[in-house]
Parts: sequence; structure tokens; C-alpha cells
Amino acid sequence: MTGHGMTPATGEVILGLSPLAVSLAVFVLTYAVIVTERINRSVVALLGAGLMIFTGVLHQSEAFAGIDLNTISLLTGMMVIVAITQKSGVFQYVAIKATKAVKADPWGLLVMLSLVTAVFSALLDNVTTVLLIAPVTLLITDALRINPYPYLFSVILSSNIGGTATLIGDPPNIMIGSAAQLTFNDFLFNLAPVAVVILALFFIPIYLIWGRKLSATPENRAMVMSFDEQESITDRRLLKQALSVIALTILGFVLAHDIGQEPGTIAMFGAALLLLLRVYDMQAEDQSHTIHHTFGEVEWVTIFFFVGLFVVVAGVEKAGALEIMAHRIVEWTGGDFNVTAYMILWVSAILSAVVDNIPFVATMIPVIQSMGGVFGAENLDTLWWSLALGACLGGNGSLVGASANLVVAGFAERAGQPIKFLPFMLMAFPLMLASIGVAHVYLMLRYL
Amino acid sequence: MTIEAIPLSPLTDTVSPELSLADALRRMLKHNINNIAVCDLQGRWLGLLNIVEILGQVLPVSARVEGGLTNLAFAGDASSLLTAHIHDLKAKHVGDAMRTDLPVLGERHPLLETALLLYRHEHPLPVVGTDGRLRGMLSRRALLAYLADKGGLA
Repeated sequence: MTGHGMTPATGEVILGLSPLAVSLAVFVLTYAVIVTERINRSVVALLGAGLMIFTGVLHQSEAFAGIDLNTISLLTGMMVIVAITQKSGVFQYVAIKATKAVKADPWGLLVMLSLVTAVFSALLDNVTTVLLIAPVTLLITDALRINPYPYLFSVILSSNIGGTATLIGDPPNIMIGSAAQLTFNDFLFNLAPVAVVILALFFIPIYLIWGRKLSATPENRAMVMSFDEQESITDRRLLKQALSVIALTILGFVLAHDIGQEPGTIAMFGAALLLLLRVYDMQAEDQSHTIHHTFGEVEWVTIFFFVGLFVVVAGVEKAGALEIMAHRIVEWTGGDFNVTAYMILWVSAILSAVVDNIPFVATMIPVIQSMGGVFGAENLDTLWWSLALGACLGGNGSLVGASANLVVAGFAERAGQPIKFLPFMLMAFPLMLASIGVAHVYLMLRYL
Repeated sequence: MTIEAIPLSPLTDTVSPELSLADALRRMLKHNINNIAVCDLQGRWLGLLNIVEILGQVLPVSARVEGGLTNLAFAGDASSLLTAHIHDLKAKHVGDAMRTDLPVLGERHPLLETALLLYRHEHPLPVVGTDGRLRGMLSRRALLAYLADKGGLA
């Protein structure tokens, strides 16, 4: 979203007003309405983007230049791949296989479902992962006649922890990677180790709170053990195609730096390849129907939300507001790099627990880029890891902290197992703070 | 023309929302009916309990709700799970499963509009008097029988 050669404000803003004041007014208004959740966030972001242009803060060409197409392509491409893959039944297959691997032991089941969720969330998007894991979780706990709450709680938290580990695991990482030119391998080497440690440590409080009390009768466990995971595969041909394309796409991400390609291109190419494999032997009408249906499953609300936000942030960036904010942060931290890194980590986490982390990260990216003038652009990586860890792990702090949390809560409510805001937060917020504490120590030991 | 002249299905039985689903199922099986009207103590219409709703309660909720599992083939027959859910019906109430979204017909509801509503809804529709009390249920069959008679097909 930055680095597109934007020019300083030229003073053609409506009524001769200050570009800084107008851009900040539009920015604050947009974010305030997003926070109220009264109007769909994508509509608010697009309206904010329109206002940035109509008020003269941005020319249309500058607004378009502010949209990070690498992020948009990566998100859209992965959404298409996941939309096709999920129809194969592979998520259910893995979940049942994992359950049987621990002989349907309730505590082992919780650990396995959390691990499966974390791994899928690291490689695909969190929302799809929990959308597909939550129903299987509910079925298995129903069959075992045990309380599903600890399992759904753990699925939520492990989804956000797993998503922290990779470039493609969580939208904030996609945005940070694209803006800072950080590769899939950079994320893997720098964030995956701490994500693994946090996930492992997360099981300790979960065991003490719930795990040691979980039990199921031998008869109910035998019923779950009789589940046939092979039957969950609904389309074997599709499964092979999808897994091959996912493997190739991830290989592409790993080699992206060496082959000189951006992740957005790789994800889009993977999506196109999978679409081709899906429809090449179909009649024209069936092809059209399948493609239309698949594109319809892309989360366009999220995509348009990103588009609008990129333009809104480009407006305040062009007006110089984010540079001022960066200088203020450096002033507050006394120009101390370590304090700045810790502050970004903790503030990102706490804010991401209560507000959408995507707009926060969209704003912080140019702020951190502006800090390059103080700390040196080559030293910014640690600040990027602080932001990524804070924004992704912070999502665990409350039910509204991440989209995946709301998806599980919505499903649980429909299934008559509501996850209430306050009880969830009372349990999740301290765990989130503990995970940030671990991230703090990790940053200190490895980078600071 | 209104539905006033159409004979309604006789109200052999109604149930209260507090009745257990297990007891409601017993009555439906005993009387060999698929629907049972739910009324309060004064006989005012509250909703309809259909046998499909009870079947839904017996199925795993993970497959019943929106966004749930679309395929349960991998779970085998899972008869003990279904039996366990049948037992759970004792602790659930009619009010938890009844449908309250059905259109309510007045005794003088227009005939054409009634035909359209019956076409759009799979269940018989309640006919309620001005005092709010249920007069009876109107089925598609009853409406078509009446129209066939009027049209000289009977």
C-alpha cells in the first residue's frame, strides 16, 4: 500500500481546507463507523475511500496506486483454492483421522483438533479452517457426549496461533509481507518457531482448566472409532487435484524470492490452475456454472474492505499524518528501538483484541515504514515481527478480535451451544496476554 | 370469496409448549399424525409442531444447522447416537422445536391468497378467530377438495 511514489498534498482539497485535517477527519469517521459495526465494514471502507477522492485529498490515480494488488491477489487466489478444496471433504478426513489416532480420548482429541486447526490455519485462511473444523468438532463431542465448549474455545485460539506462523496464515501477515517485501520463508523462520512454542504452552492452562476433567465412556469412544474417514472424501479426483495445487502453490511461496515472483501472482496462478483442472473436461455450460459458483464463494466483503481501507490509509499517508504519528511514537519511546518494538507488540495485541486488526495493521504499516528514517530501513524487520505477532495473537483476546472467532461463535450459537462474549473474554484475554508475554521474551532473546 | 366455507381439519389434539418432545412424539405416533397445533391454556395459537422438527432434534445438531456437515456417511449408522438423542427428547420441550413462522389465517381470509400461502408452505396453516383462539387447521387437501367440489370435479 505504500511505496507507490505518492506526491505530497497539493492543496486542491475541498473548500481550501488543510489536507491533513480533511484526511484525518475522513479516516477517523471511517474507522469510528467500522468499530460500531452498524453498517457492513466493506461499505464503510469504500465510502471512506470515495470521500478521500471527492474531498480532493487523493486523485483517483493516487487512490488506485494505494491499493496493494499483491495483497488483494494473494487473498483472492487463496480463497478460490480453498473454495474448491473444501468440497473434497479433506478437512473432515484429517479431523477424523486425527481423532482416531488418539483413540477418541477426550483430551487427546482436544490436542489433535487444535493441532489440525493450527496447521490448516497456517496454510490456508483461518475462517475457512474453522468453518470446516467446527462442525466435525461438534459431531465428535456429540458422539462422545461431552461438553463441546473447551473444544470450540481451543479451535478458536489455535486457529489464530496457527495463522501467526506464516505469510498466508492471517490477513495482517499478508499485508505486512507485501508492504515490507518479506517472503514466505521470512515468516516461516521468524514467526513459526514462536507460534509452535505458544501453541505448546497453550495446552497447559487448557489442561488445567478443562483437560483433566474430560472423560467419555468406552461405548461412546468406540462409536467415534467406528467413523470411517474414507467416507468423508466426497470427490477423490478433486482431492488429488486440490492437494497437488496447494502443494505447488506453497512450494511457489517458498521459492518466490528465488524465482523473482510475488506471492499474489503465485496464489492467482494456483487458483487458475485448479480452476482449469476442475473444468477442462466439462461442457461449456457446466464450466460457466462451476466457475461462476466458485468465484461466488470468494469473500468479496473482505476483498472490498481491503480495497477501501488501502485508499483511506493512502489518503492519510499522502497528507503526512502517518509520518507525524511515526515521529510521535519515536518521541514517546525516546527513540529507543527496543522500547518501540515492545510497544508495537503490546499495543497491537491489546487493540487487536477489541477492534478489527486489519484496519489497525493497514495504518501501522506506513507508520513503521516512516520509522525507517530514524532506525534505518534495514533494521525494521523486528518491528514487522512485533506488529505481526501483536496483531495476529491479539485476535485471541475477545470474540470480536478475529473473524474466525465470530464464525465459530455464530456456528455454536446456531447449534445451541452459545459462546458468550464475557465468559470467553475472561478466559481468552489472559491467555492472549500470556502469549504476548512469550512473544515479548522471544523478541528479546532473538532480536533485541 | 373467503375460506369461511371450507371445512377445517378437526382439532383432535393440541399441546402446550411446556410439554416434553418425548410426550408430543408419543401422541403423534399414537394418533398417526404428522402435525400437532401448539396452543396456550386459553386455546390461543402459538405454533405448529411437525414430525420433521422432531426428526431434526434426533439428528446431530452439527449436521442440522446452517453451515453444518453436509455428509454423515463417514459416521456409519451411529445408532447409539440416535438412541441417545431420542432419550434427550424427554428433557426438551415442544416450545424448543415448534415452528412459529407460519402465516396465520383469519376465518374470512381471501381464498386466492390462502391458496398461494398453502402452495408456499408445506404444512397446514392455522385458522384463528378474532378472539385469537385456534379454530382449526387448513390443509392443501381440504382447500383442493373444496375447489374440486365447487368446480364440478368431485
